Amino acid sequence: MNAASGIVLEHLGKTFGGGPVLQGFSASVAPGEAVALMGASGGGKTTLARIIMGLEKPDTGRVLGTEHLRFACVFQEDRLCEGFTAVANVALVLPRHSPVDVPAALRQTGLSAEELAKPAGKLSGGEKRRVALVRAMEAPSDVVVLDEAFKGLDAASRLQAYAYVKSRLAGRTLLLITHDPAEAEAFGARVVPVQKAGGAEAGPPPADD
Amino acid sequence: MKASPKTKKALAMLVGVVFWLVVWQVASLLIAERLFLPSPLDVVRALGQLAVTGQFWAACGTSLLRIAGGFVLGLVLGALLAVLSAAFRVAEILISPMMQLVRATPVASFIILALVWVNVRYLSTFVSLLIVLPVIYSTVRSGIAAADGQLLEMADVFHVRFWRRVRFIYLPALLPPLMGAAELAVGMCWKSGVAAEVIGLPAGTIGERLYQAKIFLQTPDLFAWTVVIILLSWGFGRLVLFLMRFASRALEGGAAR
Ligand SMILES: Nc1ncnc2c1ncn2[C@@H]1O[C@H](COP(=O)(O)OP(=O)(O)OP(=O)(O)O)[C@@H](O)[C@H]1O
Ligand SMILES: [Mg+2]
Repeated sequence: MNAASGIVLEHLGKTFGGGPVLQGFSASVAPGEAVALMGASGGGKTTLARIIMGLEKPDTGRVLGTEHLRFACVFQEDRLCEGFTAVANVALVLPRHSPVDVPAALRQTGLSAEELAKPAGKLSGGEKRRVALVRAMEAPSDVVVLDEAFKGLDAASRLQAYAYVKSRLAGRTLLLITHDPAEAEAFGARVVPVQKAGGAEAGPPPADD
Repeated sequence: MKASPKTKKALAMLVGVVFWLVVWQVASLLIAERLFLPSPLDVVRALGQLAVTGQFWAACGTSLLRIAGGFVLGLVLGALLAVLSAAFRVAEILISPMMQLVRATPVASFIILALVWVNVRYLSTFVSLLIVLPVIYSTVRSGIAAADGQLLEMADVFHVRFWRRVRFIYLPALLPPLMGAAELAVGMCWKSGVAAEVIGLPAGTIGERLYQAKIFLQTPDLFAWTVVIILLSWGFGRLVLFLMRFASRALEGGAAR
């Protein structure tokens, strides 16, 4: 909505007990752009997304342009309220008089009426994933972060979920985290490699090595 | 053959109860001294005689109101103090040692203090309140701390409002342990509440009647009153659990739009 300059990441560094994860990481994301953070497991993709959302503080460097942005997120974990139905889980993040038709949105990802009435804790892995996805897409936001959001979905439901996300994106910035090049391609996302900090400077230079 | 596990359990319970009732009856026949050990039938008879008097029901009502009142006050106050402690570090620093003190103090000391400090009419309310308070406080305090951190972080990202967090994240973590603690606390507050009445002898209460049964050597009445206390405590415990379960269902069901 604002921030014509987009999100700018400057020389981000983060070290956990196990050693440095990010070192001098720089990148920028234009408003409305789709970006895919890709790289090996443990490379720091989730950490980077958490820093951008303000859930983690970088040890060095800074994040610019996110002050007034609202984020919506599918976390790497489902993070559903397990005793409540899928519909209630989505309604949780909506404004009081939201016009969103939650059951319709859930059905759009292939969930059945029967699944909508069950407590989220009793859904299968792929079903939970879709509830988390709908929660992220229907919440009012400027940036949508999808951390392996399509994990556990079969090929057909995955395509259905892609179509749903595209139909609801409405010009919002998209940050994908994925191990699947086809997923990045499906959203026309620019691939930004994220590797664990080590020998070479991990920075904006294009993907190689 | 196709009895459900629940039926089987109830049946096993019944067998156990009948066994001990028979043992009791036989023992009382062997001893043959009503003042020492009345038979189950004596107790039922005493209960029947009591139940037709208005005083009986008045005593039950008075003790129930006072002890249950103490329970409700303890529940509300304990929960409030726990919420305060969770919200403000200073509050926790001040409240937590008081709760440990209350928990460690013997019931007998409370009873005697209460006789000095408060009107004897509210003795059992005061004692039952103090018994329930620390139990509820520590259960609610640790229930709040046990709320899922990942869910709370999710709620931060989505700017979920406070009351929705309470209903979707805190209460589900809190209600199961709270129901267990409440059931325990109901039993404790009846035992200590009646003990307080036996010592303080507030007029027209179960404790007073229990004491009279003792001095007039009406052992069947003593047994009958004991049965009444157990039944009242059990019934009140059921009611509390029912209300809590009802509240938690209403919460989860009402959450779907
Ligand atoms: N809170 C934490 N405390 C300690 N170490 C952490 C913490 N969070 C992440 N790490 C470490 O940082 C590294 C990067 O983790 P991160 O979750 O960002 O990787 P990722 O690229 O998302 O991996 P994956 O593809 O497996 O999800 C890992 O080695 C992980 O162990
Ligand atoms: Mg990750």
